[in-house]
Amino acid sequence: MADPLLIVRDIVPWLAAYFIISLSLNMEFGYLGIPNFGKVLTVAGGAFVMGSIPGLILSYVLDIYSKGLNYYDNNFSVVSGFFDPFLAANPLFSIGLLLLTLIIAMAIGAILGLLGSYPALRLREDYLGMTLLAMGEILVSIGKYSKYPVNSSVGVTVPDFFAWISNYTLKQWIIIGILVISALIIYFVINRFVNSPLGRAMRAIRDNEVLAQSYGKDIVVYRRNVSMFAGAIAALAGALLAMYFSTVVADSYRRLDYTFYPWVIIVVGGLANNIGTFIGASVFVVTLRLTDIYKFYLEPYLPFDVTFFTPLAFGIVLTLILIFRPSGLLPEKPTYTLSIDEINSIMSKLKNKSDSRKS
Amino acid sequence: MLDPITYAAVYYSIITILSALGLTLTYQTTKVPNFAQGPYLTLGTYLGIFAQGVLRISPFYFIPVSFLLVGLFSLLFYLLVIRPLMNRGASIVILMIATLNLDIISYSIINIFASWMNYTYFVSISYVNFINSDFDVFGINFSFILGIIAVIVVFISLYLLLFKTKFGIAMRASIENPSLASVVGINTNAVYLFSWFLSGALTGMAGIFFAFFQSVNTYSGDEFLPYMFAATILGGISSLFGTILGGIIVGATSVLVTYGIVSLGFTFFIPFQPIVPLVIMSIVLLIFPQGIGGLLSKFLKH
Repeated sequence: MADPLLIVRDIVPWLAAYFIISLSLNMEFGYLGIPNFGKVLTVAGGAFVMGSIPGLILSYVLDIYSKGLNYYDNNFSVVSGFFDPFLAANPLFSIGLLLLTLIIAMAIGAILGLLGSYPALRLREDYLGMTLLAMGEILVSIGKYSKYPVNSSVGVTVPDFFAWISNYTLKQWIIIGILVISALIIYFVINRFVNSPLGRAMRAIRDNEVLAQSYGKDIVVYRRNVSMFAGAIAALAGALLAMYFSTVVADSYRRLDYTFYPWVIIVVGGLANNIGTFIGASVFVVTLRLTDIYKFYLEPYLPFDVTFFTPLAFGIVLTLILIFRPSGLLPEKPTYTLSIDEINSIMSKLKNKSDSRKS
Repeated sequence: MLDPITYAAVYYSIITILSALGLTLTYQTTKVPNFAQGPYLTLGTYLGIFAQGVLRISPFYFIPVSFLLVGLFSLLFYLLVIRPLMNRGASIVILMIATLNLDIISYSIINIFASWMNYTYFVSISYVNFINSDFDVFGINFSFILGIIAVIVVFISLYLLLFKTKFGIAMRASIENPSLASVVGINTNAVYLFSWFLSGALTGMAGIFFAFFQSVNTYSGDEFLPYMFAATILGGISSLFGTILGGIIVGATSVLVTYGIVSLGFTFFIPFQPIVPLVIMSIVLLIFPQGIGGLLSKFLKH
């Protein structure tokens, strides 16, 4: 049996990352109705930033070019020989570099989201789904076949931002902690966001575009902004997950993992319900990782690879949910607004205030 | 021997046409882009690998088998998933999620099937091709000739079916207007069943040709899916013959544009070949949202 703490250490970062990605997708589709079948676009965008920017910055700072070395061609020796010792000696620089990388990742994610929203304003749902899917595929193909940004299929090693912590276990827990805290912050921000008047406007647009337009809501602006916001969040998740893996290989950013699985999560959990998304992500990630960890125990008894049972089971469960319970495990709740009594009391308070000011 | 660039362009077109026809068929009838079309292609290929590795016969014999089995596979999906959802009045996005699901399910089934072949018969299952089973006829690969014949046969039989038979007319009617067609007494259900079967069958057949052209793994079909979309959209979803045109454009441009750019001296462009059709598709969609076929039909009407 594997050590339970090891299992937690394996499951939690995946859960946090998938939770963030699914939250952003839920915001796009569940609340606003953009069928983003190209989620991998922004996730891979963030991961590619993590794989390229810190390495290139460090290459310039340490001037490894003058030594005849190159971040891409001599990746492993450069990262382990020059970058990691330097980062180990400069904790403040490492943290600054990490923050800078994450900010750039979010900016790139927002730009990719903006690019994705361009067709979203013009095309019908089905064409849009296909265009977004193709856009995701284009980025991953570029990553896979081009030296920049992540050294084609060979992949790159990400510099260790926490090289100044010598205890390996502690380092792991800090990285996991960053992922978890980011997930929590994003959850609270998004929850706040969708329960604000802005969120209600989003649902109104989703439910009836024409009606929302006639009430003066600018659909174009909403779709663009939400696309950019969701893109930035998904890119952050991609970058953090890449930091956790400490490598970026373009081949692993497949449509299956970063587009389809988040869709499974939000539909199973319930569209337009963030708690539902958490439940969906937990069920999904725990099952996926546990089968991955424990498949060695089952393998000798079965004449095929057990790993693929999880996606199969999930596909079937999702199909059943779509047919028999289209609203998911936790259906969408009505928007939280103040009760009429509270509104009246606030109104009367305001009135008293203005009255007292007048007199 | 053929010039390798023409060979690649034509071969790419053959595979794109056969698989994209399947996509267009179900798109026209049930109005949903089927994401599971990618795994259909892989499934066809792995049936061929079953023939080559387990039965030790030439994959050529498995072209009809792939046609039939993948067709039935697709039909099963329609009956078990798509039809119940359509009966419940699901929206197009829900149907798209359902086909996405079918993609995951088929991907897992293919992997389980492939790993079973690997564990039980020690067949190698990643980066496999059928190039050793191919042979030359008059200096040209047999699979190449057979592929061209397959496209021509499919083209002629689709034409005869759609324009010369009663079922074809019923089919076109239910594509144009399903509710009106069913009022007139056309069995739209039979049309849907047939189109889902044919969709899987054509793509399954393309799967065999796929491995004669390049090495495949269990994810290859999924990687190929955007090119089917590109062909379907470029041809304008309105017509099957537009798809054939779209398939030729996708196959030809991805090879010829790349070759053109590389021959200008930009050798770094070689790896970007796969994204050429996708870029063309994105541009076309943004400029002419109706696709080239839509443009053509508009032009013909005027």
